[in-house]
Amino acid sequence: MNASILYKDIYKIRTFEEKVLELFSLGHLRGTTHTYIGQEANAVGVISNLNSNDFVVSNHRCHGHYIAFKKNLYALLCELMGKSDGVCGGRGGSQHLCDGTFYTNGIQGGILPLAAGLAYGAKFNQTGQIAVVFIGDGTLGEGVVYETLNIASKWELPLLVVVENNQYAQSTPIQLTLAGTISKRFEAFGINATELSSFDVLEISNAAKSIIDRVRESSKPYGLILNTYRFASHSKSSDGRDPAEVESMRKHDCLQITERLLQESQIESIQGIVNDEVEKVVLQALEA
Amino acid sequence: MKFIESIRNGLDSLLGNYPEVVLYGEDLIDPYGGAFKVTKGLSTKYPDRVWNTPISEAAIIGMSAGMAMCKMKPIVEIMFGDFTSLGVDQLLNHLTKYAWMYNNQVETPVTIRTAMGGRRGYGPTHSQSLEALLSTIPGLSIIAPSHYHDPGRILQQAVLEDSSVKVFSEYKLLYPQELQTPNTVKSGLTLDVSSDVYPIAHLSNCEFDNPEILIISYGGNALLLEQVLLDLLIEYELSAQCALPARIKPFDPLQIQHLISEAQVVLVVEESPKCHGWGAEVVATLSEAGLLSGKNVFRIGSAETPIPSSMAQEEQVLPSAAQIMETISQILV
Repeated sequence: MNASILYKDIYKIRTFEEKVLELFSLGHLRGTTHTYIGQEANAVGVISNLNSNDFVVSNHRCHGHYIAFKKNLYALLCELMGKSDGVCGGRGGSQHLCDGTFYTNGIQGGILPLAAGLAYGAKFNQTGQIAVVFIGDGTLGEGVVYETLNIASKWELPLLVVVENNQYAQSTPIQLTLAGTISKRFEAFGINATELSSFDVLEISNAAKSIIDRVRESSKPYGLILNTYRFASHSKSSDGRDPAEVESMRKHDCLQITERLLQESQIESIQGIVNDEVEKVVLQALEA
Repeated sequence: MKFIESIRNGLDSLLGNYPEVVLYGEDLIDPYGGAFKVTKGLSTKYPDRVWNTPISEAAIIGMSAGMAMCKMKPIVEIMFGDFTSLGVDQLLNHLTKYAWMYNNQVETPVTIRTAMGGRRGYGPTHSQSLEALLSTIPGLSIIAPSHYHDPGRILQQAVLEDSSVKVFSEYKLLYPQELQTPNTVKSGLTLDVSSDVYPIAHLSNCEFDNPEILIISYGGNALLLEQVLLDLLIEYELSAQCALPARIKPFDPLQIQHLISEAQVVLVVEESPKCHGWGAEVVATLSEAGLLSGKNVFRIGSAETPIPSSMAQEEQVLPSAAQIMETISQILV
């Protein structure tokens, strides 16, 4: 996978999300929004290996997955702003997106059965598609996760479950909520899992590529645990984390890590293109 | 033909003619054939499309949405209606939301079949009629035929032609009942079934269309009401008609407003709890339309307690023919 292509998507998500926060504080967005700032390498690393007709199911923190998969910033921003040009005509808003084979919902864990059902449909219709569902560490408290893992394993469904462990369920650190380990949860259901602590999009992409190939070829579920960190607060609420902790994690910024792989001129060129696109989209969406 | 056979034949026909139809749930494959034996023989005939699941109601209900988005026509059997509560998050926050919140980019034509109702001694958690509870979920259709309908045909139409998310409620005591037609209906009663996709069965103890008593009900309550109609005629010479819509939600009671004009008593009977029930919705709709002024209006439903296992105690909690007769006779006799 080409680092400059991956960098462009990471930068696009970062720039878009920062713009979303800005527009929010200016009063152009209502409700809430859960930004993906800090976790971009996960969405980009995994989704860059998917076919365009694969199923991607995501959660409340879904903008990054959407941009990595569908890339339509204008339709996304319009959706967040409740405008009719939005991916769901403004009905869904930030947490409830649908575009082609991309679906999100705001209920923790409830998206797993949808993803498993899509995987079942792909297998039933012999289309060669797989389903990928992104959940967070906080979602591991929901019972329906385990109902679905059991079924996906037993029925050999082409389902990749990506757990983005950003260490916090809203404000509650994982140490207070999670017994045992995440990987053993998959192991208990006979599902192979890979755990990666990386902010390097190339490393994530390479791991995801072999896993996705395996899911497609074997038609069996797989778990990918990505230990990660978000730099922004959970949503629009206050951030209860120790600022020193957040600051210390900034040395693991996937954006900067990817920049080290590129020439200065490449970075400038990509940033220029993306900045122009985001500015244009914001103006268009504000007028829509 | 019996109620259970009609549903089984409907499923058989769906599976036989439509390769996109699948049927799954707990314990429904042969030789067991389902807790109520509705699916007996089907897994032998269609082994790839009829299968057993783990005891995971939320997951199996939820998965049906994904299958439906892949152009499949899933039918999920939930063994006891009481267990639909385990899938309510999927019904409320997922299945019934997808089509609308995704701006109609997807359809979820899912059918959830389940056995409802008491009078089998199963006690508090295996005897409930949860139609009223489920009917509060926006966008969820609830179909609950009686033995005066053709449940197998209604099921086929629901699966093939109705793109909404549907709960198909099968009253347990109806399974062994012979289906009734205008020709086989008990002496003293007449039956007329409308030609709607979801027909309204009109069961009457008189020949004319303006009864003194109008009873609105559905599903297995018809078993009580057929006796009530005969008793009203024989004991009090009162003309009465039952309207039994096969689909209770959406259901527009104004469809039967022509039956109200001469009625002195309008009664809604359900086995769900009376409090906040389906009957309340029906009565409120009729009242808002100004159709109930000057009439005696009653709701009869289950008491606000769990359903006892003991037969004698259960009779006190669920609606009974005696209770209905007493309610009517206090006004008209």
